[in-house]
Amino acid sequence: MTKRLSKADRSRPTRWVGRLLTLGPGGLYLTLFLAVPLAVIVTYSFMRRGTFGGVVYQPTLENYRRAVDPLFLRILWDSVRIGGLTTLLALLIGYPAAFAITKLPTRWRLPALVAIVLPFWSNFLIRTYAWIVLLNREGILSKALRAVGLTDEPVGFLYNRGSVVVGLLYAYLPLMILPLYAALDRIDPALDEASADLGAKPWRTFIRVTVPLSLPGMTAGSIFVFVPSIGNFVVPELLGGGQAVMVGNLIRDQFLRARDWPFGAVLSLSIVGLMMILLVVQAVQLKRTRAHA
Amino acid sequence: MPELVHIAKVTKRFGDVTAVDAVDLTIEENEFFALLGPSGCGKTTLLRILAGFEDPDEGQVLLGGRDLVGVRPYDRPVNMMFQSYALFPHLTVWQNIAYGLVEERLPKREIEQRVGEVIAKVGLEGLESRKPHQISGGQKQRVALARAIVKRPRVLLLDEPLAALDKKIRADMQLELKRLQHEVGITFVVVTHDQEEAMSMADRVAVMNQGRILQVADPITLYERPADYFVAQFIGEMNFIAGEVRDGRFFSPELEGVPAPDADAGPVWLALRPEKIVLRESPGATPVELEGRVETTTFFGSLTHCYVRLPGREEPVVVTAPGPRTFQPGATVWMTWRPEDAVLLPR
Ligand SMILES: Nc1ncnc2c1ncn2[C@@H]1O[C@H](COP(=O)(O)OP(=O)(O)O)[C@@H](O)[C@H]1O
Ligand SMILES: [Mg+2]
Repeated sequence: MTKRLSKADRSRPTRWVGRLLTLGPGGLYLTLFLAVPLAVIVTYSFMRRGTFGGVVYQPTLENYRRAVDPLFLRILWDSVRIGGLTTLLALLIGYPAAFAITKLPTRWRLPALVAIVLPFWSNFLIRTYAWIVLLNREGILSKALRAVGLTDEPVGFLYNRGSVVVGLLYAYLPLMILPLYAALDRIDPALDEASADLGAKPWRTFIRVTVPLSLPGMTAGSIFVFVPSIGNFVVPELLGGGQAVMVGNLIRDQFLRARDWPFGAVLSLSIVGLMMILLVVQAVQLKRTRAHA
Repeated sequence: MPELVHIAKVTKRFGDVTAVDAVDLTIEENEFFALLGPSGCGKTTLLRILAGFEDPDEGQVLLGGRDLVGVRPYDRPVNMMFQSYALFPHLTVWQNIAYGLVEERLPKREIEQRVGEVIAKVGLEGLESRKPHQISGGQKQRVALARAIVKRPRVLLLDEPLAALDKKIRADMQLELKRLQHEVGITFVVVTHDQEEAMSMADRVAVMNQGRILQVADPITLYERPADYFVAQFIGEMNFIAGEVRDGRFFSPELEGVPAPDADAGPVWLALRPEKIVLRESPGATPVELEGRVETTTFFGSLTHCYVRLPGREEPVVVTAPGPRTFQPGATVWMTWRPEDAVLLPR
């Protein structure tokens, strides 16, 4: 008995060292890049603004009161709508793409996935500028329409909500396709056969088996697209031309132009809050499907 | 009994592998039919051809006279119980079983009634609202079975239905499958690599090896009159003596002219079941006799196994006798049998 106890005692420090070593790097990362910045932002949100940026350490709730201003809420709502539309389109385009990749012969799947993430290897700004070349009044699309005689005038497609959605969709579509592919690929092919065997035509199998079992991938992909979409400020700036202001732009402006850091902090926290809600929804769903597997 | 399934010259190749090789088979109405063979011999492929998941490269599959080649799986009056069960993980037990009836667009009341009946029949009461991950292996197997029989198919295909179960449950389930087949009156085609399973459940057994059907017979015939060396060694225990038939007699280094009136001349195996051999402690006056030395005896209660070594032979001859029998290791014994109990197989 005594012997056993002492043995457990001896192993305790080693266990702690082991845990610290394995948790250490991740924990350090989370502390440095998540907990500390978040704490700073939360603190700023309760302070008064400094005249030339920064904060004056006088606690106040003023910033939160300003955030429920209808003007800001409208911009937030607009961002949610643009992000939502982007997410919906990404789902509609990404689902068939991911589904098609799972049906490819095994040796073609990796090349197809690489092709999907290939644009990520070029600079985000340059990729977004490329859309200006495509969509502006003297751009390729406009010229093509004139060439086939659909219009006589140059047509510009830029500087509206539509062009922002196109830009965001283009930027984040791979983030939809990859988790969808992962979810679809995990579905046991025997389930498709079992469904067919029980009398279901392919489209019925798709609705009754494939879609429900790929739900976690749909949620993950939607979050991966939605969250960066509503926070993005480069695309609205370049392709929205100031016509479509999103929360991202607003936050950037508060910090860099209006020099109102505390208000910028409150706006940032509003997105963080939105994100948290989505992640909780996803975690609950993932837990439910994990149980299946 | 009228013929239900007719498989004619069916061949299926995967690249260089001929998984099913010119198979001819008829399966009768209401029959419990088993496809028996070692792993990789093409049983699953043949079953998948019947279910419509594989198209044969050659040959015909008829069900009740109707050609099934080209008919999609969802249009076939055939259901399959998958080796992995393939239960839908997102659906409850009840929903899994109702799945195929919903596809038939049956009225809700009929679906409820039929699912309820089947649940009672396979003993899944109380588990209706569980998900597949919340039930045991044996219960999953019942759901897979219920899901298929509730469709009332003309033929039910079962791919190694008991392979994933514990040995103890397996024996119970063998009986239960047999009972169920009687009750529902559906033709069962069971695939298995376990010869005891096939022999104990099936009305008729087809023995397969390397894509070919070697023999189709009822279990007793298969045991007593195997038509092929592979069948003879695959099913039960068998002693083989290599020899030759000349002038209606079997000759081997050990044996001089055992009568074999019906055998064709040529090289053959003489195959003898261990329980057909009688052991004596003194020679009799018969040409059907082998002299050997007892190597070991093992007593199993109702049986004794005796291993007898013959001069110039690697493998001992196995003899089983009912009840306890003891021989001193090294004792000289004489083995004899009735010539009609031996089977001569082409070598
Ligand atoms: N889809 C397939 N592709 C390639 N080879 C296959 C395929 N299915 C089966 N085979 C091959 O066909 C042979 C028979 O397989 P199978 O019918 O599964 O045997 P069994 O069920 O008797 O174990 C095996 O050699 C197997 O490797
Ligand atoms: Mg198999």
